[in-house]
Amino acid sequence: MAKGISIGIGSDTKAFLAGIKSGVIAPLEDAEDTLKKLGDAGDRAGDKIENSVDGAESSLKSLGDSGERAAKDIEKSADDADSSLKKLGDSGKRAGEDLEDSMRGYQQETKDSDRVFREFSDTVRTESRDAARNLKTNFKEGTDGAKEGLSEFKDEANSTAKESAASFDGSAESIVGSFQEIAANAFSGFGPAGAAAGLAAAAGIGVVTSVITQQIDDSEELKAALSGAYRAAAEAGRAYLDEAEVISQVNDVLFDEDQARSKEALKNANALGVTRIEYLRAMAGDQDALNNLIGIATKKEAEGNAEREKAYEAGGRRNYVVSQEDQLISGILGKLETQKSLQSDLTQRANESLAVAGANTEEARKLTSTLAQIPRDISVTAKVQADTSAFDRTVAAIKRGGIDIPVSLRVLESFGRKTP
Amino acid sequence: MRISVFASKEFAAAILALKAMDRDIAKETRKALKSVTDGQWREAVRGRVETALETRVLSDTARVAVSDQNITLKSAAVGRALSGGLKPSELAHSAEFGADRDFVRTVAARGKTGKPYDRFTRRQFRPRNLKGRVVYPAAAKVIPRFAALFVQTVVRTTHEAFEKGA
Repeated sequence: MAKGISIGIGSDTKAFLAGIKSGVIAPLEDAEDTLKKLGDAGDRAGDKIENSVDGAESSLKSLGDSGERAAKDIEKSADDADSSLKKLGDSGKRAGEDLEDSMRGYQQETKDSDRVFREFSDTVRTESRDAARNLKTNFKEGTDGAKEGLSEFKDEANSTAKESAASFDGSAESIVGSFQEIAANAFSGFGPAGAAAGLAAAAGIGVVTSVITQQIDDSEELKAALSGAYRAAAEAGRAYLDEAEVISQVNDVLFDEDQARSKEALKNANALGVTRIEYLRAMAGDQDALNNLIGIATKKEAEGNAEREKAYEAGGRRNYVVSQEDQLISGILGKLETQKSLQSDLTQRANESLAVAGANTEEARKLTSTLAQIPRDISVTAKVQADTSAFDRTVAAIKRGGIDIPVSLRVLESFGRKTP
Repeated sequence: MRISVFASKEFAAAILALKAMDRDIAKETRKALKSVTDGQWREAVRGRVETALETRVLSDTARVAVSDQNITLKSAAVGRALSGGLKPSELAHSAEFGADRDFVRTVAARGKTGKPYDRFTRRQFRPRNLKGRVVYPAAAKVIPRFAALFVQTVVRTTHEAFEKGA
């Protein structure tokens, strides 16, 4: 039980997310119904929202001129929602229909929304492309049999992205479908702004589903950053990260306000006996540092094993203890190896991307990979053009056995000894 | 008092939207929500305390935690031991729900004659009240407001992020 008193304003959130994840809940089969109810001015649900909106508004006003930007934003949104609620009779019903239609309806309603719609479809296009890519990876990792579904999905995503967000999926997991429905529809209750927001959320959901179903963990963030960096590298004609990119990744962790990752890095680095920077470099796409650390960790683990074996031989089973440190080391080793496989995967993808980009990047690649082989502590050997004929003559003369060198000597008094 | 996600489509949509959002935007949203709700929650709790004990145990420790799926109103989860030696978390229940004031405990100390002593050990608390005296009424007051704020902020942020083409 939680310490002290702890009250969540929403209940069943865990059950809700778990239900969606496992597919038990098909959230909004009755989405249209719900919306129609919302649209009905006398309806309980509508009342409830309006009340709560009013409440929030007045409470925000009571915040006074605190000048906080956040508060102002919210007040604005409260106003928006409030006024759009009055229009609910119309827009609610409309929103219940195909979302694309409703979007067009709003387009006519407001001058602005033309621009919004255009921007929106751009967003959707990019996002569904991302989604397609993500799903591609997932399918690959999953089953081979999904190939058919994949191409189907890709086609569908491409064509429907141009049409509307809510239907851009269709063939992928049914979970995705219900997510989109609930997100897109539930927001429509808030009028034009809400519909747009709902569509944006629906578009993003294709990307997110995989995240939710995979269970989000911290490394997810790192992974995203890394794959972004690799993508940039591939677009610059490389299949690996250059120094600047590695540094920027390291800085991302170092200057993150949430210091959890940084602290963890320090702990792991200490366990391995390296500096935090070295560890962060390894996790940020520096192949050399990563290989180095894997070497160290493997060695440490082997040492630990050997020690345990020894203890076992000396004192039997009771002395065979896996210490916390050993556990930490093997944990780190596991992490490093995951990182390595992630990196090689990304490298491979970058290579594929380069292949797609064509041969004209071939030269750039060669040049950059030559550059990459230059070690970090650079030593430069330079050739100098110079007239050495006089020097050569002297050397030749010395070799011959004789050379006259005029020597003039002068004894310096400053050595402290007086000249006679 | 609490709002079931299954009963509020808006709440459900907000949760899903926060899950779906770009992580940075979600982070900013949570921050903005916390900056507003935290102060209001503390105020709400402070407005309901009646004794010094309640102030120290329940009000001074009131905090808000905002996650992607919920806003959690907390009290007595932080703090060091008070002068009597107990932590706020250990006193919270009695301070909130009261205690049996007439409870008599025979203490180990004895007088010169060996006579055992009885003490009232729960007199500092107020009488039992199963509905809670401070935190729970405060929560009941702010929850509808916070829920509306939660949903609207998420809608607004999503909309703005989308308008910027992010």
